[in-house]
Amino acid sequence: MKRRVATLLLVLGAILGIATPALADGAQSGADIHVAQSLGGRDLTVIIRRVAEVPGPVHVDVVTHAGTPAGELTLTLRAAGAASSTTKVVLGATPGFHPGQLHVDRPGPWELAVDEATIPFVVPALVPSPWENATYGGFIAAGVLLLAALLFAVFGKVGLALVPTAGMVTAIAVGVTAALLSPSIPPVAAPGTELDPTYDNVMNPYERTSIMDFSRPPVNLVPRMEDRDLVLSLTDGSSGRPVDDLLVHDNAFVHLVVVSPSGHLRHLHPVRTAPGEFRARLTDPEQGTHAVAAEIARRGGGVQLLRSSVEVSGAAQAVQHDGKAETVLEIREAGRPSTITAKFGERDLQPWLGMLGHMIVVGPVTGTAVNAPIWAHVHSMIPPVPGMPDKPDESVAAYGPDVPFTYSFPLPGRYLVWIQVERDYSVVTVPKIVDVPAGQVVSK
Amino acid sequence: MRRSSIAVAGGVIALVAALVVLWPRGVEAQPHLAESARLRFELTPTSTKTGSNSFDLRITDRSGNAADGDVTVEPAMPQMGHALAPITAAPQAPGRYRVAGVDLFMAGQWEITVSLRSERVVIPLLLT
Repeated sequence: MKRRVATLLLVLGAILGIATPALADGAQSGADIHVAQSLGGRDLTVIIRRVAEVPGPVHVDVVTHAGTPAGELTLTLRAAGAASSTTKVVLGATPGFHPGQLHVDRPGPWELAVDEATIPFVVPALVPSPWENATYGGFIAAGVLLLAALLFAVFGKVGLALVPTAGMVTAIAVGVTAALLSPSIPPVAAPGTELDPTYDNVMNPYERTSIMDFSRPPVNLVPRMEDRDLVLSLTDGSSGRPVDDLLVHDNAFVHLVVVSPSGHLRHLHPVRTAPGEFRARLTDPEQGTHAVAAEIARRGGGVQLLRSSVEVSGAAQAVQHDGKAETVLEIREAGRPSTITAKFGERDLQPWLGMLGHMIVVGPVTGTAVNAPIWAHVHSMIPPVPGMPDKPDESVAAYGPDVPFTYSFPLPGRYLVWIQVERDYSVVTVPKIVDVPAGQVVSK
Repeated sequence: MRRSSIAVAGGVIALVAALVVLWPRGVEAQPHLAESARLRFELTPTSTKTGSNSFDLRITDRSGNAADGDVTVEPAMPQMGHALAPITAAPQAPGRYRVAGVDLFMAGQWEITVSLRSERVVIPLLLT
């Protein structure tokens, strides 16, 4: 009898030794953060690389574009307002990547200052999920209980050995259940996307809250000119407080499109200079009323389009965009999907703002862009690479040559359209005018 | 005899396991730290539950000396777009202030703006 039980337990132990526990996926790896920044006269992309270990180094790449003046930038990392490390990045005359290295000593909310611009971001902590703990805990407990059962069996206490044996079966059941069910449990939101990031909720992202809807009120946009800078003041539509919870979406905090009276387009990415204050420089502006539209995403989700206009005093002559591309238009009547394909000839386009191409649509224009009823931002996406969660950065110049866009023009009339892609670290803007016919009149 | 000892051992294990799983764990109110250009703010809420709350504030300059002046606290709830009337903190000792009777009536994300002269910090506070 004794021998039989011992044999049984040994066989059980052998089976357990062979079976390897399924690895529950709970670790939050994070991703690179790409932020486009129109900093003074420079158009930069700041890439904060994924932080592999904490405390440890943070690699920052500053990408310059064609026409960016050479010079020096000061990068400073701050946690809760206190500076922790600083470095200088020398920008060369040729566009490309300029690396810098900083240091973080803990996970949590951080702020990267690039000269006067500040970029809030979160350094995530590697926290095992509860189901991962249950899986490993279950199998470890099973191993310990197996040992206890064997010891009881060896010393002749077969009855007592049944207690740890029963415990072992329970522990294996817990571990196997957790391992089998964990793939179907949705991952928690990255810290800082739904709730304000704090050291505590970064360290414990699995803490439950009773909140179901994280969305926040709409935003009021007030633009003004300060010297050569266009300054945007963002305030909460319900409380009037400054809006300081913008998320990086499509690689920028604010996608600002400014259309001059003559129809010249600027696609800028204002830098955060204070809570609720963003600014971007308008170099050589025209005189007159400029149409302004800003796309933002607040913490909690949802992208908003904020439209306004600003009076600019300038002296520059109207500048024409020099971007050239053969465009194939398949324009259908209003309300039906139209397709516009820009053909750029060579397969050497770079991703810009994480996309293959951008198309800004303003219209139907009767006077100026300021009172156009429709304002749209259409994307042409980069095909995802299986197994690569991170999007390729601008160093990959292998896309195109055809950039297709599909958009249903809601109203008939004349639209101003600009297609933007990146090539040789320079943004190419192709202007186009599109006439959309009215749909067939439905008889009443 | 043997059987009863097994039952007792099993009962003790079950009881310990139940206690470990079911023991109430309160969320402890942690001090929240924020720094502005010149000052260092430390806010400790009495509770992290909804309802009437009070805050203990410690305000020093960057080198640790107690700061003085009128301290104002502005609670707001960003998800609801709701702001409460600002409250002036009562000084307790040099660099120490107390704000009592703050009615944070809803569970969720709150933002407590603390200001002393022109220095302002926003401290996130999650209530359950």
